[in-house]
Amino acid sequence: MSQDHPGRDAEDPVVADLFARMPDRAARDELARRYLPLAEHLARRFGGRGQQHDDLVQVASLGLVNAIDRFDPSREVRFTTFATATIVGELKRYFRDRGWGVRVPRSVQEATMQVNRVMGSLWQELGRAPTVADIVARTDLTEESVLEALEASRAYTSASLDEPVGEAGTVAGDLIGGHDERFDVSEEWLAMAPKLRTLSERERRILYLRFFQDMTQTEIAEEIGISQMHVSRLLTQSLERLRDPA
Amino acid sequence: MISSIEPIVVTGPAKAETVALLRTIAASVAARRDMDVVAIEEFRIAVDEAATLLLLGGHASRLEMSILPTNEAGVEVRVRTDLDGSAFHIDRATSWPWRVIRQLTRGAELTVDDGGAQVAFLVGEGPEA
Repeated sequence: MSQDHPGRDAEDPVVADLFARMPDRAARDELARRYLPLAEHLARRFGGRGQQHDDLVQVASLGLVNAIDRFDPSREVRFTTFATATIVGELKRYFRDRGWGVRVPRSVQEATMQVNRVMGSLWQELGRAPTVADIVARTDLTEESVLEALEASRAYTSASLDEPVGEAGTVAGDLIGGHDERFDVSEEWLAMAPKLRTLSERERRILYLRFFQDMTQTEIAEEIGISQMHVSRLLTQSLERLRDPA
Repeated sequence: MISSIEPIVVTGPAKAETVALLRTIAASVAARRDMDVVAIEEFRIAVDEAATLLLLGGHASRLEMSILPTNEAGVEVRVRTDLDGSAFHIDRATSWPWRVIRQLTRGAELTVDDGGAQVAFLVGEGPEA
C-alpha cells in the first residue's frame, strides 16, 4: 500500500503490512479477524427482514473474505469502503435469492405490497397518517388482512434493501463510535442501550429526536427530510435492533 | 379511567412468543379505536417495550396484558408479570424501555408489589391515567 493513500487503512501500517503479505493464509485470517465487526455490523443492518441473524453474519463474513481476496492496495480506495460495498452486495444477493421470509404466506406478501402502495398515496392525499379503515376503504382487504400486512411488512425483504446503509458518503466503519452532534452516543445513552453504537447516525438521530426531544414522527420527518412512513419504519427497526438479544 | 366494558385479558408464558401475541392484540384493538397507522405502530412498540422491561426485570413465569378501551377514543393497558416484586430490579432512571414507554404513552406507571410487577399506561385520546 503506498504512503499517499487517503483514509485510515493507508495510515495503519499493520493493515498495510497484512495486505502486502497476501495471499499468505495467516495474513488473510488476521485481516478477516480484524474486520469481522464490520461484517457483523452490516449483517445487523439487514436484520428484521425475516432471515436469521446467524445466517446473515455468515453471508456477510463470506463477503468480507471475498473483499480481502479481491482488494487491490494499489488503488486509492479504503479497504472499509471496498469491503462494505462487497459485503452489502453479498447480502443483497442473498435476499434476492430468498425474497420474503419463508414464514410469510404468498397472500400476506401480496396484501403487504398492496397496503404499502395504498398507504403512500393516502398519506399524501390526507395530509396525515391513514387509519386501517382508510386503507380498507381503498383496497379489497379486510381489517384483519390490513393489520396482518402491517405486521408482516417487518419481514419484507426487498423494498428497503436499496436504501443507503448510512448517511450519504459514510461507510459502516465511520458509523461505529463516530462523533455526532446533538445525538451523540453519550454515556447516558450508552448506559440505557449499549447497542446504540450499532445504529447508523440517522437512526440514532431519529431515536434522539423522538425520545429525548419529544418530537413527533411528522416533525422528525420534516427535520430530516424523509417521509413520515420512512421515519416510522426506521424507528421500529431501530428499536427492534436494540431489543434483539443477539 | 371510566369504562363500561370489560377489559380483554390475555395471558401466556413469559416468553417472546407471548410478547408477539400481545403486540398483535394491541394493534387490533387500536385499529378498532380508529387510531392511525403511526399510533398503532407506536402502541405496538409500547407493548413490546413494556413486556421487555418486565422480562428484563427478573425471571417470571407468566406474562399478562389487560387492555381496556376507555369511553374516550383511548385504551388503558396493563402489562404484568407474576414475578415476586422483591426480585424485580429495574432502574427507571437508566432504563431504555422505560424511557420509550414514557415517551410513547400517557400516565405511564411502573408498580412492583408482592404479586408481581406491572406497567400501566394510556394510549390514544382521553384523560391522564
